[in-house]
Amino acid sequence: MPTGRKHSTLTKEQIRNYLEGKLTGKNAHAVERQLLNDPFDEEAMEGYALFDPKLTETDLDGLMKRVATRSKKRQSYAWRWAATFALLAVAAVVVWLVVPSLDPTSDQLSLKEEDQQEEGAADKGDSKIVQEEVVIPEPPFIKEESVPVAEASRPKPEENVLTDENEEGPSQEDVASTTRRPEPSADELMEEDQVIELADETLAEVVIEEVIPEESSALKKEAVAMSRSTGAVTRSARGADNMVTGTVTDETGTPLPGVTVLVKGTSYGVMSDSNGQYNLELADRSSVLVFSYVGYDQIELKVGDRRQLNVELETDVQALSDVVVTTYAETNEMSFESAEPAEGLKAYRSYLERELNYPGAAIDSNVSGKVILKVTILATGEIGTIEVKRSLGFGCDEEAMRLVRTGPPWRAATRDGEPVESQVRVKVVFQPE
Amino acid sequence: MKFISSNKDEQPDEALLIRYQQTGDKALIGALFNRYVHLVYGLCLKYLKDRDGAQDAVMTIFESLFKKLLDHDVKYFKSWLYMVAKNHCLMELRKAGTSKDLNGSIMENEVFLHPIEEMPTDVTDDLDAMEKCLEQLRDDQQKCLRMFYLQELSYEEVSTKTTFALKKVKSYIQNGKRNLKICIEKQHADR
Repeated sequence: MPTGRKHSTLTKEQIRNYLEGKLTGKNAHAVERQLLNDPFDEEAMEGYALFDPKLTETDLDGLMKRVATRSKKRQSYAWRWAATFALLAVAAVVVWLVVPSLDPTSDQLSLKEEDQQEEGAADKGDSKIVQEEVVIPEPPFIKEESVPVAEASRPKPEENVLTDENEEGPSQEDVASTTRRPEPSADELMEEDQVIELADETLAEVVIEEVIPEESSALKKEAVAMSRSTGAVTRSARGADNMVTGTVTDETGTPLPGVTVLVKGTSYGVMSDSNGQYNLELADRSSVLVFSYVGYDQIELKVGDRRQLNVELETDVQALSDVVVTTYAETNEMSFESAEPAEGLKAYRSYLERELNYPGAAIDSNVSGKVILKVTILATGEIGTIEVKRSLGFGCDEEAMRLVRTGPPWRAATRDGEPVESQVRVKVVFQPE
Repeated sequence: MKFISSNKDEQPDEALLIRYQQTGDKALIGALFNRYVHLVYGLCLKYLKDRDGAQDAVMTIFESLFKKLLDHDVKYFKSWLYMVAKNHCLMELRKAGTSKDLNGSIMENEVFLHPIEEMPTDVTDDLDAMEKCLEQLRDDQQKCLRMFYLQELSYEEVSTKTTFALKKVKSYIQNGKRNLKICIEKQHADR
């Protein structure tokens, strides 16, 4: 038998053709066989049989497109995450490489911070402005000092190699270069203000022209990359954001292990550990967490912006009393003792045998058998009503009742140690010797 | 990114799943779901009996997969999806159930599936056991089953050959198959 058949699934064309009666012989058989083998296919077929195939086919095309776009739109978080981390890593490496070759200045740090803010702020317009500002002061140091420039630009090829591997390289390059370029220029700007002012007009133009061609293409790419990478940044930030931790304790502050922490409306959740601590990643900050534990009141809490949610569970009075009631019920049953003859059952039985007067009528008629009486023993131990449950006649019933009524005393039944009224069955046997 | 989307279509479901769990690439789930979207839609049509409602249900089911599949260890995707989809439809019906009259077909089906993802098996795989069991079946069931499974005829052909009505043929084959399965499983257990 071909094992491939096991994995098979009807195509939408097969379903449609089968329903329209276009399949015959082996083809129809194959479809029918699949229907028998897999209830999924079978139920789907039943569904399509209810509707016009033309309509459902267009519906289906629409659905497939929606599925495809839905999954592409948010495609590959992982790659964006990876890209974001790569960006940050490369930025860090570049800064680290560049720092020793230049005098560490406070400008560098502040600029670096600015860049990060810029990236986080996710504002395309802002970032462009910052970049233009940064690019302009570049000319002076190119002209004035060739050595720092060479040093400064040395890491550049290396950086390109690194970032080109990455789709979002350009934005990285700009981020890195903005941190680097201004540093020497900032120094020089302070020392040689005048020179800059003089040189400004002529040289700035020249150099900017040099810069702009590579920059403009980079800027275009960067606009795209920025919009993507900012998305990625917020996403990666969200990942860390959406962790909620906390400790679950009881009223006295003792940690409660094994408390169920669920996201409301889902079956997604965790249990608190032996220290009462829990860690939960949320899909959504607006989630409500439900804390529940046997014997404690269930608590629901909105997460909101909090990262830490410590919870104190209160004892559920209702739940506890439930438990107590059950235990009482058990002790009730245990504490009930039925009525017994005061001298014990054995003595009572021999009394009945000893004192029994066989009625003359019964002897004459050769009657034998037993009389069963239902005797009420009052709470005081006295004998109440006597009812004949099984009669023998010929004076036997009366004799049995006389025996019980005039017989040895009874001890009343007790419930929780308290004497209560109860009923016992007494069997008196009449057996002629 | 390219090397993932390439040859996505030929990979088995489970390979795509594992890859999704490793990379979180939603396109993989999209591709996987589209393999069965026609079944899911048909299923929703069957239960919800409404095209718009069924389409909404399909998309809701699809959206739910991203999260579910991240941590669920799914052995056999198609069966798992069947369970997820059917349970979703039943939940929808329950929600609406208070106002609408539930008809018999829904009532009898209102059994939630358990997440046992078995591969659907073809009982006819074990020929020895099958032959023994076939002989124990009722004549009409036996006849239909033999024609269907051994001669590989379609329902319609069986119907014309046996002069049983088409519906009868269907029910003979379905019931016969069930009896056959029970019998074969018994034989396996006895061994």
